[in-house]
Amino acid sequence: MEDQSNEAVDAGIYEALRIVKPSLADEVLTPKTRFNTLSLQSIDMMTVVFEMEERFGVSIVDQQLDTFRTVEEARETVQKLLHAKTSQPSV
Amino acid sequence: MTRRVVVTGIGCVSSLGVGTSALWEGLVRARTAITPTRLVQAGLEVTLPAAPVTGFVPLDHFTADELPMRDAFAQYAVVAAREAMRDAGLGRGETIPGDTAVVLGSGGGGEHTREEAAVRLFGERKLRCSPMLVPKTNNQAAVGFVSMEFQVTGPSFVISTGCAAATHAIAQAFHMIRHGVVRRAITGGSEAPVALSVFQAFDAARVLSHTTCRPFSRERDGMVIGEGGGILVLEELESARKRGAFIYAEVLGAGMSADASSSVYPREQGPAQAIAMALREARLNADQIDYINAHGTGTQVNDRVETMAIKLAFGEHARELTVSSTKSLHGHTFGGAGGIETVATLLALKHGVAPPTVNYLGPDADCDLDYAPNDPKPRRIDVALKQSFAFGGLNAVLVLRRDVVQ
Amino acid sequence: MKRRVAVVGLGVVSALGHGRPAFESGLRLCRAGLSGGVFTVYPRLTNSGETKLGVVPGPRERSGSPGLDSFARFALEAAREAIAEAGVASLPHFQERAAVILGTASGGEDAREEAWERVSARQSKPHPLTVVRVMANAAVGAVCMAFGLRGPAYTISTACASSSHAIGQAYQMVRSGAVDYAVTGGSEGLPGHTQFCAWQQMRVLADGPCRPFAEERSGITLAEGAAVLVLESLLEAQARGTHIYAELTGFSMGSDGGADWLNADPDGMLRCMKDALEDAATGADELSYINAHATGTLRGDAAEAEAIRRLLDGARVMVSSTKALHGHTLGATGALEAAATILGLEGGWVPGMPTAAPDRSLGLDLVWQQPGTAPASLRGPVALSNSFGFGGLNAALVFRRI
Repeated sequence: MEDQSNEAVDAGIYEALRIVKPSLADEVLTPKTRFNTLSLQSIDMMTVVFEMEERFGVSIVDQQLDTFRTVEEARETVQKLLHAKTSQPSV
Repeated sequence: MTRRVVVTGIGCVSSLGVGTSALWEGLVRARTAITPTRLVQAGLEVTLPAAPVTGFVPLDHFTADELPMRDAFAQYAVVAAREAMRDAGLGRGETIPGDTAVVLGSGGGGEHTREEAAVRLFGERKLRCSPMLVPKTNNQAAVGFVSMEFQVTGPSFVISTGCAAATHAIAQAFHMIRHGVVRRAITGGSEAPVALSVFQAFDAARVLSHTTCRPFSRERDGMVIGEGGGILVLEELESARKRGAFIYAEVLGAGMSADASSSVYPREQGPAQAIAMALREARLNADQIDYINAHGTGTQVNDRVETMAIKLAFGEHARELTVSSTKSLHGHTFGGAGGIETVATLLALKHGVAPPTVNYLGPDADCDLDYAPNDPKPRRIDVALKQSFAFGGLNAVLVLRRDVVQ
Repeated sequence: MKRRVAVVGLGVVSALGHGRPAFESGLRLCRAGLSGGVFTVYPRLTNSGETKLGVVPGPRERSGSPGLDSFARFALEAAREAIAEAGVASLPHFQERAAVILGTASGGEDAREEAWERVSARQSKPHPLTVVRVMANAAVGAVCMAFGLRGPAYTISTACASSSHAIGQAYQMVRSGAVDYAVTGGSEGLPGHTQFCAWQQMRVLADGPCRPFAEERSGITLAEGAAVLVLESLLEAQARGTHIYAELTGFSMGSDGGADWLNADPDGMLRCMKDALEDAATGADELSYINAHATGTLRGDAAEAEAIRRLLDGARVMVSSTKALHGHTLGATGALEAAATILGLEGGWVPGMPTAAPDRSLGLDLVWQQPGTAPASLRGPVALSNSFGFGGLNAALVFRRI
């Protein structure tokens, strides 16, 4: 999977959020949206991360979740992982 | 000192529809909900008679946000519990939080969810599995959501004895109130097993009918899988009276036993023992029973052995009983069976009508009792039994009397 | 009627070995059994980090019992040991007057996974014994069959609290006289591949063996095993002169509303512990040891620590989580921990956790032990064992030394 634009990754993150919490379809989500304002319990957040991994084909390690406070931060992590993938020979 | 226990509310979701009225109407109209059901999953397909829940729209009962975490088996339990609590005239804050138990039965938990995950990992060879699998499939889910809904902080647990789970659950809830552990209980069970993998597993064990469910009838050829949930509100008699609650029946006794003989084939001694234990606790003679809602799965062996067990327990009086299997109408709902069928039994007590055993073609050599074949049977029903016999030979029996006698 | 209840038999199968002596020895010497390789159990796994498992030693194939999945085999093995020791099998009314109540969270995971494999590979149908192997009640059925037990028998399935709930129910039945004996506890096999992947995605599994209450704790170590207790009226047990491990004096179970499925609420935990002590007519000041649920997660251990601090209100009571040695066996964990607590009470010692830098913010009297050295002494006669399951279902058991 190639590197993706900010908008594309954000869109994927919003989609992941809306799968786990459908009512977010009625809410405006932005790159600055903080995950902890979305009333997600821990298991929900873990499911969002899972959906993101599936969507983007990346593996997010636990330590990376420490900097996962906003959509923008999540996007940066995903883009880093995508870039790492494309710059490696395919497995 | 033991306390007296009564039923003050009932709720149900089944293939006959959502609600206890839909259940009763379906039973007395004697029209089975069993229908050829085609299931497709990951390119595999199977068509078998089944009794899937009808008229149930998840978004009618839950918000979109609530659904991702609730497998159907948990949804059925919650919806049935809501009806039962409303029926009992109890709102959220009226459960005496620490003094109410939630004891539910479930056989397999979230089968649909499990299947979806399996299709992804085994069929599509995906590498990851949603973390939601564990909370959704776990048997605990139904109890968790019911406890949350009614703010119950008292004893809450799940009994998982397959076909007898809900009957065991009701028996335990009854004993907890009887022995003063709690004053109220939300109890029963639910199951959502109409899934391809479940069909295949049971079919591989050669217990499924490929035609329909004909309990106690000649040419019966197996069970039919159904789904849904049945919930009762049990209450200590004095507190029910004090608040003027309508009383469906008094739970007089519960018996539990094990066959200790086979994981699949029942023996009549085990069930007969459970019946005897229930009658003993109820302080009733066998001849005081009018109606039995049978386990009656429609397999050759269950119905034969169950008939033997009834004769063993009741002697001559077996001929005076009406014994019917409502599984012929709503299917075998495993963890939901004890719940739905106890609700049916309570309605039989209320209306003085024994629900029929439909799809009945005629007697066979092993099954020669009065099964209320094909039509509901109005008759005197003062005291009824609900009995359930699980694989592994685990048995549970409840004794219910309509009138609260001094 | 409220009879006193004794534990007269104990059987264990765990990552520490087969049998109670192996379990006791592992606990006393603080030798953990949590080095199981993930890829041996899950060959299809592609990533696992440093995740470890607590694996019951011995061959993993089901030789000799084709109809039983590992959770049922473990239960049967532990039940055999417990019943043999209790000497109850030959007693006149044992078969009719014994309850069999066991806990399990998942039932037959091996059979479940095999069925998926077969169905997905488009082979013929699943194995005919799939249903009887998967069903949660298989362990209870097998135990009843092996010993001809015909009394009340059922399975409880409430995630991590399953076997504590089972023991508690059995306790109440013996106490009230509904039955005269109980064969109770729980068992669990390792999750199948699918469930294990789900656990990984919950991000609660530890890097390496779990270290409850330690500064560097990173989560749960999944494990398998079983523990079975035989309960009997204390007076009867004393009358027939059989060995008594301990008295079971109190039990409570409750729900904390489960608003956060993964993280239990300290208020619910506190209420459960208090209720159990009240049921045992014991004050917190009489406690000498608490076997915590503590699975090794950051939040879970901290929440339980808070609940314990509030319970003890300044009193000094030794606390440890033996999951550091036998792992988290989900539906069996309550029973394994009851067994650990009982063995410690009987022998006058406290199971410790392998020495690690403790999390000092927890404010507990934690018991650390250098592996291979002798355990700390138990200073008093009463111990509490906690089980706080996912989804907010709680249980606590109180035991007293005889």
